[in-house]
Amino acid sequence: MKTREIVRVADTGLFVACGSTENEKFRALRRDANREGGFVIPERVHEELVGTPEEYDPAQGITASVDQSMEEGWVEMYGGIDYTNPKVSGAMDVTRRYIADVTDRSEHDIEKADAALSAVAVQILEEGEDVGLVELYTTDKPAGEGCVKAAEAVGYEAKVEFVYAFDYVD
Amino acid sequence: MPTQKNAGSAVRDMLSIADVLNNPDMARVYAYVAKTAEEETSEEGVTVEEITNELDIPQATAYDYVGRLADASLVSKQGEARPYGYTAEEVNLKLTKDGNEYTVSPELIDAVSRRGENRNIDAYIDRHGVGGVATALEYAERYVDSEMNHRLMARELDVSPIEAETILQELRKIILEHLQKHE
Repeated sequence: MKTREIVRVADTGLFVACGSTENEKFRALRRDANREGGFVIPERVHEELVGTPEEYDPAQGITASVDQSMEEGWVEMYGGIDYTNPKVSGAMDVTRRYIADVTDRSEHDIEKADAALSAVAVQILEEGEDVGLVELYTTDKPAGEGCVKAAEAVGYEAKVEFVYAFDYVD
Repeated sequence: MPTQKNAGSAVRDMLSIADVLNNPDMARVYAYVAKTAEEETSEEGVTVEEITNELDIPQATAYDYVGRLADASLVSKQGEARPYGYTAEEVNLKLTKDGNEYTVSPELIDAVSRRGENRNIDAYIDRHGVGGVATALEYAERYVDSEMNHRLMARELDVSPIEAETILQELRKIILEHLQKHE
């Protein structure tokens, strides 16, 4: 039987936790990506990682490590979300509601883009028949847990797994 | 019931804590005494000589800081004979503003004390002040409890998402260290 593919989706916090290219945690991440498979990042995450104002100095090292990992080919951006797909938009709504609930905010305070991880996860499952599992690597527990619930709500039960990035990195 | 005398003493404590927050080296002395005394679970405390050696602070300065911390009741002298040891008192200053209560916690002093050695904390204080770190700490407490994320914090405080995530991760380490101490 053919092994079903695992797709790994990474959030901003994973790269922040791994630091600059000289950091041992970044090297370990690269080794793991080479062994177990690379990561895809939502467009929104890419914007967060590379679109920082220059005056915030500590971000420069992280931006450089993301640029380098993309050049090396083990991190790819996942764009072109089809928001007209009801499963994608439905998953985003569930995630937004979940984030609002656990962070004690109104749903209006949670932007559509905050649910970008769930949109990417569900679209990957919609597009890839061979995909057995999507793993979400994030430090954002509300979003991570929300995505799992959202995927279930649109019919992808046990197809999305939340990996707390600190447990993975440490 | 609060008395006039207590009011004077509370204001003095507040000013002393402000001194500590404005002086990373003094914050380092306090954080070192708090950490070492806990680790050794010794009642004798930490001596000025140990502080001088460990933190690479001139002896006269260390005496000055310890004296000021003792005057402020942030550390207390142990034993009868020299060299005296010092143990730390738990800081827990509550401030009320616009009906909300805020806390000056040991975690905040610890964060400020890392200013020289941690460029993420250093950059955050440069850009947002010690008050900004106190605000970030409130977000970080909820981040540790899985009730917050960097995106909300970034929007609500008008900082970039990567800056929010970076300081949340730094403060998370401090919060977890303090939690372990109390286990």
